[in-house]
Amino acid sequence: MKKIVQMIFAITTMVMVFVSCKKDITDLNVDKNAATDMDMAYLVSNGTLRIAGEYENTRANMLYAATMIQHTASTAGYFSGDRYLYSAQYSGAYMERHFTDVIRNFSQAIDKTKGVADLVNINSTAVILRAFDLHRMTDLYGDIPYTQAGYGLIDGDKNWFPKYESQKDVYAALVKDIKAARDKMNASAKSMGAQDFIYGGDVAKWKKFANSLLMRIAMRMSNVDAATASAVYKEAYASGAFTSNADNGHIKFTTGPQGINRNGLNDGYWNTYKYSKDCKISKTFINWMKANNDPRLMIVSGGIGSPDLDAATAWKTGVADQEGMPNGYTSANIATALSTAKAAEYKSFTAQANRVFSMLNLKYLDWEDPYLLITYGEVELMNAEAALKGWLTTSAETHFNNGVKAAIQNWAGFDASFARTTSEIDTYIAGRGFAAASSADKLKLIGEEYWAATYLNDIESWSNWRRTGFPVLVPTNDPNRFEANEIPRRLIYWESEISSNPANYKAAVDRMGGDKFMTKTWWDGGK
Amino acid sequence: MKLRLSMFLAFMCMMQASFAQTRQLSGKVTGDKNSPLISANVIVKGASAKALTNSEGVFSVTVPTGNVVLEVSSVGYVTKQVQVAGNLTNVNVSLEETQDNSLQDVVVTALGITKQTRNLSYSVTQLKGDRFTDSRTPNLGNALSGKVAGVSVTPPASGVGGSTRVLIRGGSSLQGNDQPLYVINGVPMESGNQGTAGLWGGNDAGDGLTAINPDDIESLSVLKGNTAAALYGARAANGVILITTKSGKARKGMGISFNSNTTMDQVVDLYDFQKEYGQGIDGKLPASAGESLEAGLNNWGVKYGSTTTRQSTIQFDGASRPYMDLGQGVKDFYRTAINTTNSLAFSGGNQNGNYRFSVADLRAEDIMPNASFKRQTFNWNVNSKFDNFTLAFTGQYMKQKAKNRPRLSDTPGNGNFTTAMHPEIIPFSVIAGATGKGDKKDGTELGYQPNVYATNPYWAANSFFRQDDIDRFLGNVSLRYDFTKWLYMQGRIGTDYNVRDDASYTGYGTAFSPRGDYNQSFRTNREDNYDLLIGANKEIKDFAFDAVIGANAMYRVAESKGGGGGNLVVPFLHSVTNVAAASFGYGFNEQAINSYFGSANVTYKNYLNLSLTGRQDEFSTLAKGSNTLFYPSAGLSFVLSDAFKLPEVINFGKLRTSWAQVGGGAPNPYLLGLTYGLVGAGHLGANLGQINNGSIPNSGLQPYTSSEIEFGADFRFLQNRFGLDITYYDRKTTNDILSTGISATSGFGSTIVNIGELQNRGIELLLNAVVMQNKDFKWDVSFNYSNNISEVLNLGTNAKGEPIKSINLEESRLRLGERIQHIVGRPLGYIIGYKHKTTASGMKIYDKDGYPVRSAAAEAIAVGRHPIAGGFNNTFKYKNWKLDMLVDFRQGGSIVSATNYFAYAYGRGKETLEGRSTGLVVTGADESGASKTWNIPKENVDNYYGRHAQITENIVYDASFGKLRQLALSYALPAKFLAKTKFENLTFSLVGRNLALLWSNVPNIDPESGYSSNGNSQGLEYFAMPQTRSFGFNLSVNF
Repeated sequence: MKKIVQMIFAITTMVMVFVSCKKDITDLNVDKNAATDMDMAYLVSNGTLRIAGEYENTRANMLYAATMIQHTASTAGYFSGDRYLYSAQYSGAYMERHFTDVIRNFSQAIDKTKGVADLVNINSTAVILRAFDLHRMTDLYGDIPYTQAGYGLIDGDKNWFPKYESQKDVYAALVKDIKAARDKMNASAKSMGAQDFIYGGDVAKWKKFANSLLMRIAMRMSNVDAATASAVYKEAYASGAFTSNADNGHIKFTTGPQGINRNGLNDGYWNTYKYSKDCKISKTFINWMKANNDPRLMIVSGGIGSPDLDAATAWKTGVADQEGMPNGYTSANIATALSTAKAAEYKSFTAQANRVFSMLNLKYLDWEDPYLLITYGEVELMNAEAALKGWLTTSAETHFNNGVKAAIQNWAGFDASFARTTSEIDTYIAGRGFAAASSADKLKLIGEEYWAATYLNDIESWSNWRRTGFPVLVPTNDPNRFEANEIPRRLIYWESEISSNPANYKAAVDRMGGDKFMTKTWWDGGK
Repeated sequence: MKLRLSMFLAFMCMMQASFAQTRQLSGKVTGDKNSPLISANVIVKGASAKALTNSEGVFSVTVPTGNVVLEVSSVGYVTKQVQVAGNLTNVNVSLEETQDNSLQDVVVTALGITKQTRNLSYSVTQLKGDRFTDSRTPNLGNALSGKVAGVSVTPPASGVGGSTRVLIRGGSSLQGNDQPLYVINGVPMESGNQGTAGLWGGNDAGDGLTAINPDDIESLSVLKGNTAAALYGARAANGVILITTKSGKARKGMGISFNSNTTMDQVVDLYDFQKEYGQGIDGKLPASAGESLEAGLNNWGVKYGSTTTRQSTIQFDGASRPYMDLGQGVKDFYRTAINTTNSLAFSGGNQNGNYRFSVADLRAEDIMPNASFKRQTFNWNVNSKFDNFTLAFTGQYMKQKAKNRPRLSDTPGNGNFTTAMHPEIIPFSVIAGATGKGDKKDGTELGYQPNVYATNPYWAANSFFRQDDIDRFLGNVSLRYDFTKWLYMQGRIGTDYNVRDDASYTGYGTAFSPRGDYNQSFRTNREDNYDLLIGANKEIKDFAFDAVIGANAMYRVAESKGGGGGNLVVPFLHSVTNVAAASFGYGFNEQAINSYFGSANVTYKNYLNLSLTGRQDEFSTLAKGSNTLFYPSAGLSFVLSDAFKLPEVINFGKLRTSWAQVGGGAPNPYLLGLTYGLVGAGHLGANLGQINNGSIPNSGLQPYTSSEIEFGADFRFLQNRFGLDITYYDRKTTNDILSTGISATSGFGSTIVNIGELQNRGIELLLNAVVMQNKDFKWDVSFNYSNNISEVLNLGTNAKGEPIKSINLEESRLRLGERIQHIVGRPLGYIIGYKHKTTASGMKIYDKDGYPVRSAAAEAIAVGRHPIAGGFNNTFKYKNWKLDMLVDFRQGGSIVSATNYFAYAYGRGKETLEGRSTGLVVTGADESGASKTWNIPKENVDNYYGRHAQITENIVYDASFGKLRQLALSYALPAKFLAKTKFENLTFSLVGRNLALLWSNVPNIDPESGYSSNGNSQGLEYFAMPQTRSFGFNLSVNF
């Protein structure tokens, strides 16, 4: 009897363990800490901030574009653009990060809000910002995936290996998409509100942004498709672009708490990574400002000194003291490009010898400083060029003056001490002699001012230089340059695409005639 | 009582019916040192009678009259056949302990069931516990190296307490995680890697195997094939390793055993760099502090002078020092590490139960200064019997503290990089800085070269803090009820629960992160297993049956909480409360598998055996409707030597074959659908949202399946002096669950799909021989060899329906196009990269400057995993002396060596000497294909070698090697000396590990220098820890 009781006891105990767990186990596979749906405005907000991501902005903008365009110079080898070296990682960085960090957020938001009348402003904001970023992408690389970009989740596996479209087609699609988004925006539909870190959901300002972007796109193709360029430009101009610095398209940042809350470019230049210890204002830029008595000289330059090794009082901040670093040298041979006295001073330092050159001003390198997308100053300078081209009937001089003035005044948004008086600005503008200049010189003046106005937004600066050739820059001459001692015409594609998207990559390279720094893109006279 | 009695009577009747003429035979079975063997099997040959020994080793069995043959077997002992004359009623049998792998006879198989190897239809290798205690390492996995045919062990060079990669038969999956399942006393344990270094650096966070104290291991069985492992279902696709811990034995009083082990690890300097040219760029002497700083790690300077012509230069710190090779090396930075392990065990028991309790303490230093690993383990094993119940309670509590696991791969915080590439003219003592911690007077990192990301090694060792504390409990309670002698039921509840506290900081004042950071996280992981088994063994005439049916429920949950951030506010206050803007993270996931299983075994006349198993798994991680999978297996074995009369020379011969299908890779939870989450703390009062999935989710995922067929033969010759065991297997894995790379321009870098077909075919060979044996001397040789030929058969198709030719795995931090891929038609884990571009006729092409031109695209270069692995073990015994020597070899795999890349780039390699004084003459074809000769001026040879190294194939080396893995000399005090003492035995050993690299083709590095145990990065080398050798002594006492 005892045995039977034991046996029953044993069986019940053992079986009971199993009885309790007979519910459907797939219920466990629901992530209790994640949402299956979300307000798509949140994705647009995230995508917006990521346009200014640290990794790719320091690489594409700071290491390549800013040094190639001779705003800055560096003897450190990793500033690859200074001497036209190739770093696969730096060259490919913008592509590597933006399709996954930026474009997929916009593409998902566009897909999820498509056709919902009340969400049209979220949809249009996403379309315009997606276009802004892919426009930069095509200017950097040439042919790119556009239509399918960032749509990996949509339509099964159809968009897993996006096709690269010719730059010409990308431009046509950009114009079409931006216009459609602009026209659909509607102040009576739901606003992005505080989720919009550019205009706080102001639909009127977004329309101005769309038009300003269309004008930038139109101007870019002016050399290769003047008819389309002029038509797009005129339509956008008539529809209404920026009219003051209050309209400027810039992303608002703050000090933290995390990387995403900070201006990524400045995170690299100064606040976290301190790369600006290794780069200085270019001699080309300093000399240009000095020659023109530019009131921006002591905005752009923080003076001569080392933030680590020199007391603030020891810094040389006089205008006459400023000296830029020549592009194209290493620390081993830069002395050969300097005056005897400067070379001796350079050699006298055991640490941070590059402190003998004008440093970037830390006042515009704060985490919370704005990240510029498009400014009124650029718009007016484009208008000046459009007037010269006969696209507009307004006065090129007025546009030029407005543009230069706005570009200088915009600095006050970075730091109050950057405010310049009207008389200082007017004197500077008068000194440029635009009114009296020949048509050819006018184009040169516009190009130079655009170059000055797009300092920090160096990807744009470099693109405009490729189109106009202004300012006239002397390429550097280093035996270790990758392809040629010529300022590159594009960046080389992100290497991963060679293996992860081979057929489409190859088609693009075949169409463009190569994947080199010197391969010209469509609007630059290439294929 | 009534039932039991009637069943007993029925059984007795049956016995009576079978054998009319019987007698009773009793005896005692003893093992090592005359200790009684409990539960030894005693079989009467040619009859169905059998018995088990009791807790005193005593058995009693009914045998036919006349002479009989008893076959006595016990786990870990060589089965013995004993002739018993018809007039005897009592016989004592002493068994000899088996050498592992060798001609052992009883092994632990799936679900802890012991089986006679003679009847197994698949290959199982069992190792005894003392194989791990001779020359121990903190990670048990390393101790398996070279010991089991078909098991390839790769310890990444990641420092003490790091993880180990154990691969059985080449792995079944194309995924990175292809490690076997570990089961302790019947309960699966979480053995997974907790994190490894990758492309962007990091450190090896260890794995679950470090939790096991080798002194507690009774035996370890490796279930290599699918058939062996099929009863474990989905988790067994990569094989199973069963660990049985020691239990107490019936004995008088309490037994105490004590073991003390001390070893020293020393760095081995394999760097064979040039010693003629020093720091500099473009063939110039650095003339100022600035130029020295700029030259940094570059050795493209000028020739060192002799004692009379030697120059002095200003170095980075402004001091003038002689421009000479100081003869420094890794020994100037790393330290000799002392490791000690002490363990103490108490055990005892009687016929009603037994117990064993042990405590062990391990303290290991790393050769990396300031890094260490400590572990305390408490292990218990209690069995008690009352009536027909057996209650067993086994468990282990482990406390582990790993401090400053070294950073590997990418250079930030990786002192191995800056040590290896240290400019020879700068004394290590100078870069050690103000307080020896690589610091300047103001307490920040002392930089001596221009790249802030290449951290001063002293700073890396002292200011990159990392500590993980683990508390882990592993245990199970089982209750068994024996209905009758042949039918039992067992229930078991087991858990593996661990809490891990990780803290890390980058020191304030680090060059690349001036304000540092601090992060802390807590993780808990728990896996519970409940199982129920009903088992039966029965013999009917010539047939013996055994069968098991059962069910298992597994539940696993992981939770993590963490906080921290960058930018310390108060300088040098390293605390999680001192970060400028702290952020908080939380993670949670859970999953379950419910399973039912059964096995049946039929043996005819003890020579023909058929076994069948089946298991059904139901997964929580897959969609309803496609979340179940059934795994069948079947096996047949035939002992030729019992069925037929074989030539005298053959004592034993067996043929076996089996087939099984298992599966696995039911993916991690929450992979089926798209989810969204918030990012950080929002921005300017608004919310930031993201798509959580890094990979495109796939709701249609299925478990993958792997089917295998195996043939084997086991022969023994000349009175068992020679043994040969050979196995051939062919395994095909289909529908593998893969994260496959897609174009990141789609917004996602990968997607998870069921694609792929993979084949592993191979042979495993085990040879044993007693080469010499006489009264005092015995020489045993054991040789194991395996060759696994893997091939990726297909990887599915892309969106256009075109076959996918390759999938991307890990990339090297060089980021020059070299990486690991699975490529259709080639073995798993292929190294791809650039080749030197050649003309159609094979002439190497150079550009207009005479620099090498790389191929247009990355091409397949060599396989990154070794197909061939093996070990050669010799044991010599002379009286009380024993010498054990293990040579371990690997053959056929290659490695991309970043060390050698930098040896070229920085002018350290001896190969870079050519052309330095006179310039380099290069002959080849120009880009049009015409032959040409270039004269590269001496100041440009650095560019030439830099380009040379950027061509991947120039830094890929055959990584085959042989190592003297282990040498142990032990002396056991003779019994006559011990007789007067309380000691039962006392053994003293001298032990050594990794004593010599016997052969290798890779310059400057250890061919085992991988930085990660992840399958996806095998074949990549990037400044992991240098090779070490260790030696020490071991004292073992029992009383």
